[in-house]
Amino acid sequence: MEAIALEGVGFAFPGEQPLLHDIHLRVSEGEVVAIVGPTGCGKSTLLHICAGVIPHFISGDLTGRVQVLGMDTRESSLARIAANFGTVTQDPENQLFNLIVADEVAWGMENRGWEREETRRGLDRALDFFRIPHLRDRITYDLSGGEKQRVVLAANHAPEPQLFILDDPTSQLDPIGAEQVLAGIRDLAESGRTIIIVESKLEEIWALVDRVVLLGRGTIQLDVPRQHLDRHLDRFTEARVPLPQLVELGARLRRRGVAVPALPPDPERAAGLLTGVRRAPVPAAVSDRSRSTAEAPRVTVEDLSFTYPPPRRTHALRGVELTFPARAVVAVVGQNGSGKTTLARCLSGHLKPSRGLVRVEGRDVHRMSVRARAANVGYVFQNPDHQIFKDPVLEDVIFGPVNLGASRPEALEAAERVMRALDLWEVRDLHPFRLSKGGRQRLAIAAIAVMRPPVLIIDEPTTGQDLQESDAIMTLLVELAREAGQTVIVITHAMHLVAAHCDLMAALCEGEVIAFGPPEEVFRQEELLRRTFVKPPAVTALGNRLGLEPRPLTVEDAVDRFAGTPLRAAAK
Amino acid sequence: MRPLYQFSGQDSFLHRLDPRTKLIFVVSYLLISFLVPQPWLLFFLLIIAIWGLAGISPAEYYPFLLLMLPIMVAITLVHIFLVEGAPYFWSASLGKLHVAASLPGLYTGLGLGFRLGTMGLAFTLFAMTTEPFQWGMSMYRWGLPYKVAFMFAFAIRLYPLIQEEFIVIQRALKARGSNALSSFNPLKFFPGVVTTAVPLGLGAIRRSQDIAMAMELRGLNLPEETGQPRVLFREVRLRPVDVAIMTCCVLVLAGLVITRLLTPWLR
Repeated sequence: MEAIALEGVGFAFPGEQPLLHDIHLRVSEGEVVAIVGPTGCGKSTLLHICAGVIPHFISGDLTGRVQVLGMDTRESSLARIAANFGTVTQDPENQLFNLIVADEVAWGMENRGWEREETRRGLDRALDFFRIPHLRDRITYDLSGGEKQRVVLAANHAPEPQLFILDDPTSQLDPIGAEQVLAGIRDLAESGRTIIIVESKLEEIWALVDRVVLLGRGTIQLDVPRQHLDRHLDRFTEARVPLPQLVELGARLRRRGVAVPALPPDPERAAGLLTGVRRAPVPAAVSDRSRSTAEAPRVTVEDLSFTYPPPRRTHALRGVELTFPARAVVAVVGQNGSGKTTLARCLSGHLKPSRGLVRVEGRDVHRMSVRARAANVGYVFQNPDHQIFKDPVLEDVIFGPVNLGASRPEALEAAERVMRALDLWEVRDLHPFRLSKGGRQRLAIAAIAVMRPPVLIIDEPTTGQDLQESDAIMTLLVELAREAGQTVIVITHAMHLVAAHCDLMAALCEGEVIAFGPPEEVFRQEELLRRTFVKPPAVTALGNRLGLEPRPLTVEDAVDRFAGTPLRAAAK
Repeated sequence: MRPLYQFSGQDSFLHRLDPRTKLIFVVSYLLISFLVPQPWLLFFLLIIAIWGLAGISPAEYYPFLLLMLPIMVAITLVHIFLVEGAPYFWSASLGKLHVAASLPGLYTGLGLGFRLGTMGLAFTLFAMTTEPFQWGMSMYRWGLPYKVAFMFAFAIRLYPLIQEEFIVIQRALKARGSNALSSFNPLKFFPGVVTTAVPLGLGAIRRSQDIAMAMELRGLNLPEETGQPRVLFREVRLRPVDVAIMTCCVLVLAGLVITRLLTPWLR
């Protein structure tokens, strides 16, 4: 029997052009189907249609026929449809309604009218299934992101639905949290549940996915078994959707005439398949990156320690010593709780260290006034929506410079330059909340970059962005560093972006710096990085296993190592 | 630091009491503070009770005490100078203006200040030791509609999240060079509050839509749809100790009222 059947489905929000059209999708019972596509292509909308949220909760023009577990979603109420499946979305905070974990997991069963004893058994079963019985009596807001999302999974699993609809459940989690949740999803798949999932980390769910559906230009572009994905590299590249790095490497090598089999996403297994493959010589070149790390120091961190006040009393930073040069893009990486955000907040003066100093161009940042700090150290917070203060977009961008004492014409001139670079000038008269998430993220960066602080700190600049948007943001940050001479400090979990764009990286673990240097060097220390749950990009990990010199940092690098450098690249 | 008025999540005698018992205790305690002439004693007694019976030391809620202190001092000062009556312990004249600090004013001011402090502290005790859903569900047991009780409890669950968001927004405002929220100038402070309200309000609207959808998907309306009544997983019922404490509260309160009416001891 089919769990989900969509026939000729289309959808348009009121007064807008159709977002989806001609969708034909069938998901059989027990199948695991991944939906991928660029940001804004309608992945979440498609899941909302499958869940009956459209048309019951979100209105619009829905066409075609939608059947979920034999029910026509138009003809049943949302409560009745939803009683048969579990849903998990991106932000666990929006899916936890109770204070205690046990109450949260039991809530769905209470609503279904289960007897108390039955609910107790369901609760135990769900907590055991996701290996979280130890969280039973914990308060939900005290849990880590990964724990919260596993509680949400358990709460959805407890009433024993056969179908799960998962909308990018790991996108807001750190590596360890994502791994915990993915382990839960793997268990669900192994137990025979039907799963339809939007997941940006395709390599992480590679082994459990049966089919991959590529969504683009409002409809299904491709619907293929997972093992045939590498045959469709062009379609993925065109849709700006990354394939797992090593799967892409295999496809590109074959295209360049190198005889390699289809590569799995796992570096260990891929290395085994590539051991005998001939490697091409690498031309020596001085990269832009090594030049930037030789610049004069702009930020110096001396013996920095920070302890949170009671009752928390966590030693978030312990004797951190770092130097960040001018004109460099520096990544700060590490699992949640490793001290990344505390370090960034000490650097920006938002937190006063318990011990030690932070100097920006020789001046102690904590002795600066609020204005002087804002002028010297720009801080872009993770959630762009927390930083929108004015309407329209242009007014929001000039808010900072005007606060710092710039005249309106000066502020407008500076804003135009930055906004054009960030592709925001055309939308300057819109309300900021009418921009996409990517647009709002760029707006947050523009609003700080326009103040031209010598140091720019950005917390997770690419969360929720697709491949092209992430690259555009990182390219802009590199430009700010190179052309405006800023020191850009990026807190991120996206190691492929660190490898591709950053000059230096600092890995933090339990408040200490365990590695600092160019990514090419730091990523060699896999054992050390494992302590803070940082994994090098798959191509670099492959390079570590095969002893490739220098280590490839991008798929392009890896292709060059095996197939040789194309003439245009060598000529650069 | 734990946000103010947030459930502490411990297990203690006070935590285990039924919310209704604690509510009756809090109301009785407040009324008692108006009946006895030594409200400061009740204030300090409550701090000791929270520490001893709930295991929450003042270090965990000192921001509340710090917040109360200037209010209590202000109330006392106002009464010192406004309540007339000998003996006066300080006076000064500035032209025609004569100010004098009276001892009865000091006592009245201290009394009111500590009563206010006791009121705040009693509510803190209730909030820190009562799990909001237990509170909501006991109200449901006493007849409040389920959705009202649940939403009430959920609002409390959401409070620390909003408080956290507010702190981030404050920092973001500083990062844009605005010090409005730290300003003592109301012409700067209030526009700063309005500016902060934009991201906070819009964020709350977005969040509430997502939450409403998630609740619907988890079956909030299922009992109405199917006619199958909801069965609460946790039993909410009064234990003998709850009944005993409630009875004690009522008896002590009644005893004090009678004593005050019939004897001069508490006047």
